[in-house]
Amino acid sequence: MTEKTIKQKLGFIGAGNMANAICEGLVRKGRVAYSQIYVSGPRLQHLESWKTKGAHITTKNGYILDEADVIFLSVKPHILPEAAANMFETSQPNKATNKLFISILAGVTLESLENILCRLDGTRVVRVMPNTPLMVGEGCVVFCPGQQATEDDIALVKSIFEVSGMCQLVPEAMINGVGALAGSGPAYIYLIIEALSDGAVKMGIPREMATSFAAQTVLGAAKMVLETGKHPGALKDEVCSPGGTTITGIHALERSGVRSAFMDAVECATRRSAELGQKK
Amino acid sequence: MSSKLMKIGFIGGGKMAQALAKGFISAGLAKAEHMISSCHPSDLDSAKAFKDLGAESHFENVPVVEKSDVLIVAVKPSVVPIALGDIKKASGIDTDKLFLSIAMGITIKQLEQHLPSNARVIRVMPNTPALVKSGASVFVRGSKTTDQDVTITKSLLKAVGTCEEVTENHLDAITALSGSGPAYVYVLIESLADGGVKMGLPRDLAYRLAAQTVLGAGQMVRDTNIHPGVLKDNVTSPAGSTATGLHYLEQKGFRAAVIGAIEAATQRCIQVSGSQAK
Repeated sequence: MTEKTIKQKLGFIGAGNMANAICEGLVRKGRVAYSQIYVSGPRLQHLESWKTKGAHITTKNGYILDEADVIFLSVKPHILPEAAANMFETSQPNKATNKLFISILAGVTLESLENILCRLDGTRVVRVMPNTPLMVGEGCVVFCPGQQATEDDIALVKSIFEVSGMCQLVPEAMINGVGALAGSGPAYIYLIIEALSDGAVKMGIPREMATSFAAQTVLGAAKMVLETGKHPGALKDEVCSPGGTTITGIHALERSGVRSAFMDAVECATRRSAELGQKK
Repeated sequence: MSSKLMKIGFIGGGKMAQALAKGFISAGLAKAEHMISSCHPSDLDSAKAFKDLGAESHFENVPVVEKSDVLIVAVKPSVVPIALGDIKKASGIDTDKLFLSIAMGITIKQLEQHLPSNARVIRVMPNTPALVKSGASVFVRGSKTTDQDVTITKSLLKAVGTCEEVTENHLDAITALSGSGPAYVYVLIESLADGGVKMGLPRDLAYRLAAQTVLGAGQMVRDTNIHPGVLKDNVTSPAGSTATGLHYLEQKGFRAAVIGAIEAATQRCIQVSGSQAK
């Protein structure tokens, strides 16, 4: 184990894809062992794969609360009240103090989380917004620490999520905007990849080749932005030779107003995020 | 012959010729008393303009060539064959000189055909802001142009703005960009001002601010060498007014409109020069 080893016991209330991705990422990088993992779900038989890997499985959320030092809330948001009730019912009195809760529930504010959890002494909460490519180690994760969260808590959250991609602290006010970008963003990109592929197929390229090339192109371009630090406009210029094919394609995109389309997408999604946040 | 204090002659004395003349004089490249222009007999304003500068003005093209070291061909394109024909027909004049043509759409080949064979040609495309010494000029070498001709040309054009050497095949696109470009920018300035007026600004203030903003932005790009995308980012604070304004422009397809304008203008240029070719 490296110095970045996580010594705490990690619990997951909700054992879906995200929980799995977070865990797998940590284990693969040698940061935790499955023996440190506690996971709960409504049906034990669905947790078999976790058990096989060495995790402790249960249907009692309270067990997670009692045993783990750091508890991930990874149920679907509408399940939260039920999951929280189960947690309090099935936990042993006075055992559940000084816990760090890491919530990845979309749209559930720190305020809501703190309201539910404040009955437990020494509780700290961190709200995290991951995105699905976390599952392939290229997540874009933001987090906001709750009022009681310590420097150590923040450092731990960072070290957990940096294993699976980019991770940054942001003010909670930015979460809607970041959600619209990085949370929903993969969907916009899937749309782009599909469309690029469709264009290529129209021009005679076999589908599989078209899709894999489209995806690799998006990946490569993204890497160029992240690694060269050059402005995307400058990178675009570097590909666009005078009178060439690229600038012709770019003009077609500009004619279709694609820039504004993406700006609109982020704006609409941000507004929707805020709207959903209000409803709770 | 040094590039200082040349004797410059203008075949054709219209606005552009006058602007160039003034520019050359104030840059110390020529003295007015050594300057001479030929204007159409009916064009009293041009004749007066040159005389007011302290230069000579004639009706005839031949004396202009005789008295000058460097000639600026500044007549309207349709007049070029006639004006240069005068020079070719004249006997006993020394035409082993540099002829700079600013006539739109007249090619090097055409210029060389119209002029005597020992004349050396450079084709120039300035733009109207040369009138305020902020021109964007390009030039193309002719078949007999010497390096000294190029040096002279550069120093002359720099007197009224910037100057770049290009190849003739790019001239249509350049015409569409920097030739017609000022018009697009005038439209932009007018629109910025209209927007300002709509939002309550007095018209004259709106125009001054609009013009200076365009000027300033142009200078930022030219002088800092920073990518315009980066410069844009530097003005665009999160959730600020600039971001809102920019989004509106994108929604309206601003970029595509401008790209399309350059494309359409270039194609028109090609069309026009195609129909002018003899």
